[in-house]
Amino acid sequence: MECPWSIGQFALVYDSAHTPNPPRNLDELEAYVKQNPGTFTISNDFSGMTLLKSFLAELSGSPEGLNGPFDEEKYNQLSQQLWDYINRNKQYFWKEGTTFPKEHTKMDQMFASGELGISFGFGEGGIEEKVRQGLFPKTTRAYAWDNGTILNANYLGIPYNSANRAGAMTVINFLISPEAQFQKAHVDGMNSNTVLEIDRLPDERQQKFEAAPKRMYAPEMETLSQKAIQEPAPEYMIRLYEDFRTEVIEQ
Amino acid sequence: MNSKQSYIGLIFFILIGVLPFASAFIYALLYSFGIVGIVNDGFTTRFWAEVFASGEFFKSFAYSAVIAAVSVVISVSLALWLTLKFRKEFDQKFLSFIIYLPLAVPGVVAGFFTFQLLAKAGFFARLAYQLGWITEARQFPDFVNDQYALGIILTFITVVAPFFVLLFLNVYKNERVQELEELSYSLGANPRQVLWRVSLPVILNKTWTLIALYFIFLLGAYEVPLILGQESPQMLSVLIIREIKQYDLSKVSEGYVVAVIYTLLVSLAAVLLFSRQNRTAHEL
Repeated sequence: MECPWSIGQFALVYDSAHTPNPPRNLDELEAYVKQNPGTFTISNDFSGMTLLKSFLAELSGSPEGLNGPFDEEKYNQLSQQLWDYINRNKQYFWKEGTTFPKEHTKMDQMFASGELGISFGFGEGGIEEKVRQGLFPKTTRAYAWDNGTILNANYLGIPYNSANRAGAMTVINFLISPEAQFQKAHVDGMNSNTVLEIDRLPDERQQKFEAAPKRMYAPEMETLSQKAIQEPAPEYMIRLYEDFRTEVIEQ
Repeated sequence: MNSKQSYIGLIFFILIGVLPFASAFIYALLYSFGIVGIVNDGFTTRFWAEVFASGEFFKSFAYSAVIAAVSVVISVSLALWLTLKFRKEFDQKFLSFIIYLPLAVPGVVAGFFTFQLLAKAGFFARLAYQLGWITEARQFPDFVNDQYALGIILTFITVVAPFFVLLFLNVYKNERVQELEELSYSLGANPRQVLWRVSLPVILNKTWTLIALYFIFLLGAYEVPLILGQESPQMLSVLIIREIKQYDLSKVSEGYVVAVIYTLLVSLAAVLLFSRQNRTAHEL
């Protein structure tokens, strides 16, 4: 059994002071890395694979290209194009593409130190907190890919063999209550979007949500969500992760 | 009374030393054959075949062995040189403090330290930038996450060399190497002969088991290559953890296959090492 808890969109991150016009599609990215060699890379983890899913969708020709159940033939064809694209350009990536960062946190560090010009992250780029902490410069911005970036929800689940189903449901009821969702969405808190439809809440609650302080640096999800892609079937992620290693890293 | 005490000692040894290791090994073995594990459904040699077919393990093993060997050889040479050259100076408190300080630094801290110093946006890169030697971060040479594992080897040497200095200094004293040297001189040996025929053989003969154990220790190091290594090839422990934590739960067993092979190889090496020469380690 499961219940949605948060929703967020993956976004690309750049420093507007250094990169006034960040790339918004694969062609522009190719031009960008050639002009700024060494300042782009793909972390070999969940975040990096989420970026690759957006790339794969662009190669399919539309934001809906990966919708539906996993399609082996489609995957093979599109992923081959993707690996060709990356291998063709990786000489302009960080460390000439000879290796890739293990974790996305490392990319954050390198973005903060100026070694990377483009980064990415979940939750509309995940930049609000890092700018407020002073890790990222105040000119940091986040944006969606022209063909869209992944918009996905995360869920609370109860395992089938749970020993205390009623207790778990009580906790979940609390976590999706307007009070808890308001706290979770607060910019000074987790800063992660509510899954509730605010205009269906009682007036008093609606006003509270609307009066809450807004983000100062990260975009609101509504401004990105016209360029959103549905989360593709999980097999795409598993295959991308395996093949990114054999087709790119080990080449 | 005496036999009762040794009986209790044996029980403790089995409880603390043998049991956890043996149960972990058996668990890994069962997992590698698909007998345990949530998504596994019964005995299969599929995972073993897969690991042998992909060849990644052997590449990783060779890579780890080269890094460990290079690190140990350089550390031992450096420590021998320091011991023989600056023996007297180490009696000073300050100098011995400086040289032994790295012994107190955990691997993960040493790894981060190297990263902060040598990364392309690290301390030395910033220094080079201020001095005008480089104009962009990416021009700084590759020392961390690099192809030749320079960062890993450098960190291993910093952590391991002080230990060897300490060891060699003790052996030098306990084995009365100085007196042996003086004797050789009085019998007409030249400095080169004293070094190669007397000092080095005496010291190395007493310590080679520990040197070999350090090689095994570095072979299985985790934190330092995790922070400073690259994505391919990876050192053994990093590879094992990656396989065990991968997204595709149906392939988790491959990690246990690698862990089992590695454990067998290292145990075999340790048994060979100690069965041949079991006196030096506890005599020290």
